[in-house]
Amino acid sequence: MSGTFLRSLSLAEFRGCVTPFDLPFQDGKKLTLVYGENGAGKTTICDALEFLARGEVGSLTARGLGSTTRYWRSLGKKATNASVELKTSRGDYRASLNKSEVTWTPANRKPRVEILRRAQILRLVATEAADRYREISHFIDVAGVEASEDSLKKALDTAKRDRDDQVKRLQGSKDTLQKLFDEVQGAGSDPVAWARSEAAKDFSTLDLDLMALESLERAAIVLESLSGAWQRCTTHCTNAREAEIKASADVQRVQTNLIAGANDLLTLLTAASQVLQSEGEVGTCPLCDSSERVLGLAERVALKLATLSELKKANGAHEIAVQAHRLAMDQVERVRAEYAKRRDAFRVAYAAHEFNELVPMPSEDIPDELERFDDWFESSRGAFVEWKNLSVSWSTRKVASDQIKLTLAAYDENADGPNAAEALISRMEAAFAIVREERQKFTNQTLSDIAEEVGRLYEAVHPGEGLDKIGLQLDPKKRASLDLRAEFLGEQGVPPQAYFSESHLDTLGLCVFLALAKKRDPLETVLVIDDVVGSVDEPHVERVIEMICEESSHFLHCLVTTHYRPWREKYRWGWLKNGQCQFVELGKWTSASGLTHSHSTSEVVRLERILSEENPDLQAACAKAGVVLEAVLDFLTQLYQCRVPRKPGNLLTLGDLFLSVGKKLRGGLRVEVLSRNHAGELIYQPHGIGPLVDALERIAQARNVLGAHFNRLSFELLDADAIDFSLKVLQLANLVVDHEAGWPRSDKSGSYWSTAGDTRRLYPLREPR
Amino acid sequence: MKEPNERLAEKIIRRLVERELLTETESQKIRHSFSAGRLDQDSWKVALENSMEGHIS
Repeated sequence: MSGTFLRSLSLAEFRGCVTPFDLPFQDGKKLTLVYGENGAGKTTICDALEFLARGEVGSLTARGLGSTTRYWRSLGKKATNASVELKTSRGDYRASLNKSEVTWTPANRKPRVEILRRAQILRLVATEAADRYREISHFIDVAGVEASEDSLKKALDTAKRDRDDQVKRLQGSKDTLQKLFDEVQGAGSDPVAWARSEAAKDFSTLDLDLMALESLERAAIVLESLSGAWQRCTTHCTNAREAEIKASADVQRVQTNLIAGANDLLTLLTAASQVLQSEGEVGTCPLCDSSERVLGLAERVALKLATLSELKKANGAHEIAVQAHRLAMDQVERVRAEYAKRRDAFRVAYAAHEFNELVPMPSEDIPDELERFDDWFESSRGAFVEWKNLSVSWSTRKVASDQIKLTLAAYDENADGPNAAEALISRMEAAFAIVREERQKFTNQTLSDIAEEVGRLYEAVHPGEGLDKIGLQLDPKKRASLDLRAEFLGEQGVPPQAYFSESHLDTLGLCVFLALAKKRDPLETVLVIDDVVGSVDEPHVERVIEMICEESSHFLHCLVTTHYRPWREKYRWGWLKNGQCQFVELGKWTSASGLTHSHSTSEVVRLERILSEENPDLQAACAKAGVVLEAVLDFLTQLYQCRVPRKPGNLLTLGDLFLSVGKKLRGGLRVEVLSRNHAGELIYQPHGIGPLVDALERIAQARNVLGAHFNRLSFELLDADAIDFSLKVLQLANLVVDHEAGWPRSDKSGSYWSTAGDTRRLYPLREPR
Repeated sequence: MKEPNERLAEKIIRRLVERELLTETESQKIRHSFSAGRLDQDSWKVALENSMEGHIS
């Protein structure tokens, strides 16, 4: 909004505006002073700007009203017609009240307004540290950065733990390598170098040898289980054969004692017995169908079979012996076949690999015949035992090699870890240090800047009490807590609330408010100060006014309301050091007219207006001219520290003042007025003042004769004399006072007195001696 | 005018880049989340690691 200026503020049916109220802003004036007696509507104007900026009316809060929306409209008006509009050179802002909702046009377009009310002024000073922090937090709260800083700290801690873990793992790998190195008493003194050389060795041949040997060993172990098998099964077979022969002999022996064909008879009787038992008592012989001697046939058959039982038993034993012999012979064949299979497998394992000379071999090839196997196996047993030893040895070497490789790989994997982690940690630590340092510096610097600015402003009101004596400090033990400290009677760091007068606290609060408002986009901000000057005690109020006038230049606009009458008079006499502001005087508020205003007019302009009338009132002209002349001479005598008579109440007459402005001073008095020449160029136009003062001294009686009293002498005075006096006073005043810039009070140039903006240069700087 | 978080974050990032702890590329990646308080541990680690590689290479 830089370069932007306000055009007008319009209120309709808002708070005290029962009729539409328009406040036009003057071009080039950044400070608008709204003067009005209590109840004239000053706060309504401030409320309007707050309503427009935030949709709030702060003057009604904390008054026990609860929700205050219903009070925003003017009494007797609808809640839907209240509106505020601010026109600026960059666009307009408008807020309307729709029952309890505030709507902005354009949508959500709001001006930036900072507002300070009498009720709020102490909040920045006489409040708890946490509350004060909330007021200021907007400028120093860097919670986002703090959160990221915390994350960085955690990342750093995690990285350190990871680094420690990596160091431990690396040390573990080193210890394992050392142990392996010690176990085999490796060459050299460096276990890592040894492990690297071991890992580089080619164990592929050993792997093949080991695989082949293990295969051969397995084949031999399988063969070993057949050792003795031949012997066992041939013995068994022989025994079975002998048992069969014996059983056959037993059958022969039993038959010898029986009739011929006993075996056939045994078969026949066995079958007959089965038939008879199944059919029970029969009428005829089942063999010959004869009924002769059929009675008792079954008993007689059973009796006859009993005589043949020994033969039956011998026959059964013989059958079993024959079966056992057959099985034994089958077993011999199975063992023989199994041997052939295992023998062939052994031969395959043997032939599959060319074993080195360290591997002993059987003295002869495995025999084809099972019958020779036991002898061969016994003669080869030594070789088999050596295979086992070699296999264990080679396996151990292989396992050791694998362990070396694995451990070395783990070592290599972790070897660079700690270094890389250390590098990252180092950068994290550096980054964290920067983040923390900058964050602390930022907060401290911001607080220091605010405190310095508060001190500078406070110094302007209370000289010697502000600079380097106001401090703002975050309480390191508490979150979001801000201490305000000041110096009092030489003691540093005391809370101002404890020692400062209320007036001093008010000033301090105003300074804190201004300092904070200046921190945040002042050129975008409309500053509103609602009737706070009146709370400041008399000795300091002028400085407060000057300070506000000066500070207003930093903002987009500053609107100050006051009921402090001297401020109005200062304006009327052009005594504001930093140039004249826009002065708005509110009229008496009535329920019919609402807010009304008029622009205050300076006394010089009032004189000018009187003289510009067609038939000027000579008494009024001389009276006004006399007051203006007194003001000019009073100014000059004070500026040059002229001697004046000491009187009760310091009431000086025009005569006293003329006498004080001596000849030497009058001789040197001159003014350079900044103006434009015909070409439009800015030039300083010189004017002598001494002759004008001389002339006025000669005709000054016009003031008393015409302007101050009823006096018969006035009957003798020409109208032209009265006009001449008044015009000369006006001329003198216009030379010395710039209506816009005020009086030449600054001696900063070192050679003349100047107005704000250097529009008047009054010489000399000092009264000539 | 920028918020305090943004102004401070900018200052810090500028210093980190000057000290070659962050590359320009990485600083752009983290700028917003840093000021918003959303830069977590892993993001810090990645940014600093990438920057380390960037500066070494």
